[in-house]
Amino acid sequence: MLRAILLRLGGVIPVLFLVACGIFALLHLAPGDAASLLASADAGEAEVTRLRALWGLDQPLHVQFGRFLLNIARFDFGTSLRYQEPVISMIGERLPATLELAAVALTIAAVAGVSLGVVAALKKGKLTDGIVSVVAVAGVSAPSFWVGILFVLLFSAELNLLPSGGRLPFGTPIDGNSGFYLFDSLAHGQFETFQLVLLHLALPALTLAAGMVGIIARITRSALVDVGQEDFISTAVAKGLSRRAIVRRHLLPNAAIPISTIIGLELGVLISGTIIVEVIFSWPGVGSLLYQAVTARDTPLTTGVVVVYTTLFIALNVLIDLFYFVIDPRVRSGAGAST
Amino acid sequence: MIAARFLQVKFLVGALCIGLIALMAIGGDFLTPHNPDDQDLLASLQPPFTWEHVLGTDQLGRDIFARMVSGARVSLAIALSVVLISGVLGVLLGAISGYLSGWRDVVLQKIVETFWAFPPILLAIAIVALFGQTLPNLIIALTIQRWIPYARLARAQAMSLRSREFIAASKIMGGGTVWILRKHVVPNLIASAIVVATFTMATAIIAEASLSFLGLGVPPGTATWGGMLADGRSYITRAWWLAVFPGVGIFITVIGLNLLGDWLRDQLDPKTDLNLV
Repeated sequence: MLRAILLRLGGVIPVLFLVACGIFALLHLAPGDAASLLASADAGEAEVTRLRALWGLDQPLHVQFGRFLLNIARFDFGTSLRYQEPVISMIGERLPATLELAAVALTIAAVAGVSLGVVAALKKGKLTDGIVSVVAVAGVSAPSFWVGILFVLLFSAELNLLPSGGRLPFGTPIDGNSGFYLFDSLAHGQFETFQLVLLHLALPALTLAAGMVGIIARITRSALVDVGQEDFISTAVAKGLSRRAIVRRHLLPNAAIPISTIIGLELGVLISGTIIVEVIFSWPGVGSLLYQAVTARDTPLTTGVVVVYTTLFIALNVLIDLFYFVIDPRVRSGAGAST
Repeated sequence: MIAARFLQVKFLVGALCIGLIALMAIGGDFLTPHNPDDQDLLASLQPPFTWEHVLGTDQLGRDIFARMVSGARVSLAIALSVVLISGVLGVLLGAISGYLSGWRDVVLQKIVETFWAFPPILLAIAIVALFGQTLPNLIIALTIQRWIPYARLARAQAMSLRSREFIAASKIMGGGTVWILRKHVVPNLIASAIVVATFTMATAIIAEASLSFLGLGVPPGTATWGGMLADGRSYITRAWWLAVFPGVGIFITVIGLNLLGDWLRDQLDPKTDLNLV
């Protein structure tokens, strides 16, 4: 098992290398001199020359590539043109906000999706089943930026129930410095702040989850229906086990693999979703930072965010693969060591 | 029985949605007298459902319906080109990769893995941001990851086709690799590529609208659904129709494509339990 895990982790290195090659190629293929891309628009010739030396752009290509790899490996993306701050500290400050939002959204999507899927599978062919599949297709088809705006329109503008932007009202006391507000406020006993954090999370997290619930429900349903046709389920029914026990002990564990696979595939939707959702809800995370970077033509910042987002995406995919070791005894025993 | 009826409903609703949007894109000029870019500041933010402006007007007094028509054209044209380019590219590369196997396959699989390692949309944003906001760049940005599903499917199918008798027979009869690929392999990959195309078109429309929403879509000045939504966001409390209608356009198109894709998949692959989809 350890060997399989190490193999999986080792497989990441060539992918990371190729991704770095891809980003390097993008920066070099982009029109114009790379140094002038990295300098602000009003930088003088001297500044461009300085940057060219700093990034080694006057060196041959392979030397440049080596330096680029080294910088990326150290997470050194240089200084933001617009904000004149080290890119990595800007990203570091904002990463917890994005992770917190993504984690809450994923939890909502997984819980709601799996529950809806179970209900649909148990009521197969009934009206409930039909409603769930309609909701599933609709959820996949509605773009998140539209859903977000509709939520704001309904819950903020019309009903005045939930805040439509930011993580906390300005000046709300919050101790702790992990950047994860849910954790910080709870760990320091600031329950009112905790409540405010939750309220602010509600709309962005729901928007982000909306696109995923449908697919998770659909896959859960079909996985359960598949498992339900297996002989051991008939045996369990014949043994006289209660419906609840069959669902919990036999159906769900066996359906867990396709369900976690689809949740893994949805990570892409989740990560990309944060970019759009953060912009809509003025969420101070990495996604809205990317938006600012792109609108300000801030190449170092854009590169930094792209690298961090991609690394995060790859890491999450590996985590999902490792999760198979936990849930699938066959993979654990090495029978499925090909993963 | 129920499954068959459900399938028919899928086709009907899907076709209706796409028909509606296509009608709007093609016949839009006959449906509205307004020009999408004509401003009329005296008639700004007019509510919808009047004879003069069916879907209301925006902050500059431009007719929302006329702009929706323009947006439908932009969306459909971009999505269609993305689907065509990525389809041709993906099927060809996948067929070569699966049929030839060996080092070419390994190289192609590494390329696929690399492109796939980027979160969707992110790569598109980076490309448009670095290379500039032009129509060709936008199409490249949207294509760069969309050929992969075609390539994966085509590769898997080409691999299994390779061991079939009719391929062996044409090899024995002296058929060259290119000839076999063209005459026997690729034609057998078309059907499933069409299913992939339907779903790809749906994601391409959402991605194009997302980029327009972020201000990275087609060059500014053209009315697009995503761009209209972004503009409408600032007026959300005063004029809901600005942001709601363009979203409805995207939603109808995408749901139509998803339903048609489901239907097509069921048609082509009778083995799948129709209930499941």
